[in-house]
Amino acid sequence: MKPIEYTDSDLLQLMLSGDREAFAQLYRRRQSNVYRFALQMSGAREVAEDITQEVFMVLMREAGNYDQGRGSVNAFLLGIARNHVLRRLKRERRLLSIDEATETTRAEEQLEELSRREAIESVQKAVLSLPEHYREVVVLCELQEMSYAEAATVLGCAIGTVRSRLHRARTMLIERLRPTTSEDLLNERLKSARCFA
Amino acid sequence: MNCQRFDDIINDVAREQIMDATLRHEAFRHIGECPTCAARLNGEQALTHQLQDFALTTKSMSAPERVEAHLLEAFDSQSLVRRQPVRRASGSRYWLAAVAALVLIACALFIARSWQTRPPEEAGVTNLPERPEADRHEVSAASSLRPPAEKENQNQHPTVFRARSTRYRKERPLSPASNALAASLLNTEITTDFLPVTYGSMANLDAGGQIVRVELPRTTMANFGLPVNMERSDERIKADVLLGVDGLAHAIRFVGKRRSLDLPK
Repeated sequence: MKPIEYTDSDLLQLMLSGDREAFAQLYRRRQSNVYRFALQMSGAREVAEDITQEVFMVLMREAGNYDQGRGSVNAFLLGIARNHVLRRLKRERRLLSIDEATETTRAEEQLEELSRREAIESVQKAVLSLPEHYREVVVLCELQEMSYAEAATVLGCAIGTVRSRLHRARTMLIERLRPTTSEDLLNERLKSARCFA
Repeated sequence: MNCQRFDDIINDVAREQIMDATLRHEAFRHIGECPTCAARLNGEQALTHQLQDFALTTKSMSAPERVEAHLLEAFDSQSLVRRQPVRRASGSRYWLAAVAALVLIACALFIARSWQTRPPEEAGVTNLPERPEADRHEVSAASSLRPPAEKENQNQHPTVFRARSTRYRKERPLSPASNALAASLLNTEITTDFLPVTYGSMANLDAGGQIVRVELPRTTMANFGLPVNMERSDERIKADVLLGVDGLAHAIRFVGKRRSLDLPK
C-alpha cells in the first residue's frame, strides 16, 4: 500500500493539532532548504545550524500565522530564515568562510579537483561579499533555484525588484570574479612578469 | 534588437530561463552582430556555471541530526504544556468569590445611594481644603460654554470641581481660604476652555453631570483645533471630560502644567 503523501500545508495543519510525526516529516522535508539558505547567506555552518533550529522553533510557536494565500510553506520558512539571518549578520557583522572539513580534505584532492574547489571557494567568497539584499536574491534565485515570483514572496518585494537586484548582483559578481578568469589571470601574470623583468 | 534591450534580457538568456521564442531568437541574432554583447553573454554564462557548481557543492548539505532531536524534544515539551488540563477552581472557592462580589456590589449601591441623597452642602465642594492635591480645578464647566457676560460674572466667584469622577454640582461661591487654594492651583495648572465634544444640547448639564480626569495622547488636541508641539506628540496629556447625566461626554478641556500645554500663552 502506498503511503499517503501529505502536502506541506497538510503537515502544518496536523502539526498544529499536536501531531509530532507531521512536524518531524515537515522538518525532514524542508530543513535542508533552510539550512542551505542560512549557510549560503552566512558562510558558517554553526550559524546555519542555529538558524535552522530557530526557524523551526518559530514554526512551532507561530504556525497559526501561516497564510496559504500568501505563499508556500517553503517560502514562509525561508522568510523566517531570512529575518533571522539578517538579524544575526547585523549583530555579528562578520562572515565566516570555509569550513574546517573542507580544509582537511583539500590535501587529498587531485589538482583538478583542487582548482575546481578553489573556483567554488572564490564564488562563495564573492557571493558572501555582496551586500545582503543582493546576496539574498542570488542565494534564492541562483543557488536555491527559485523563480522570481517565489523569491519575491520570501523577500516580501515585487518581482521587478527581484529581477533588477539579481541583474545588479550578477554584474557585481562578474566584476568580483573577473581577476580569477583565465584571461585576466594571464594579464595579471604578464604584468607581474614585466615588473620583475 | 539593440544593446540596451539585450541588456534587459541578458540574465534570462544566460540563466536559460523560459522566455518568448521570438525574443530569444532576436537576442541570439543580436549577439551574432554585436561582439560586445556576445562577450558579455559569455561572462554571464560562465557565472551561471560557476554558481551552479557552487550550488551543487551545497545541495546535499543539511542540518545535523542533533537539530532534529532538539526540535522534537521542544515539540514534545510544548505539546505537554498545551495538553495540560486547565485547573478549575473548586466549588467552594467559586461560591466564596460570588458572595464577595455580591457584597461588593451591595456596598457600592448603598454608597452611591447615600451620596445622591446627601444635601449639597455635604456632598459639594466644601471639603476642598482637606484635599490639597493638584486635582482640583478652577473654571466651571458650563462657564466656558456660556455667553461672555455671564462668564465675567462667574470669574468673580470661581467654582471648584472635584476631580476624578466627581459629581458636578451647581456653582457655589467659595470661602476665602478655598479661593486662595484655587489661586495657587491655578499657578500650577492651566486649562483650555471646555470644548464641546458632540453636537448635542448642553441643556442636559443643568441636571448635573460628572467631570472625569483622563489621559489622552497629546495629538488628540489637534482634533479640537488646538496646536500641538510635534516634538512632544508622543507624550500624553491630562484632560477633563464633562459627562452628562445621560453618561455621554459633552465637553472636554485639556489640562496641563504651566508650560506643558501646547497652547499659545
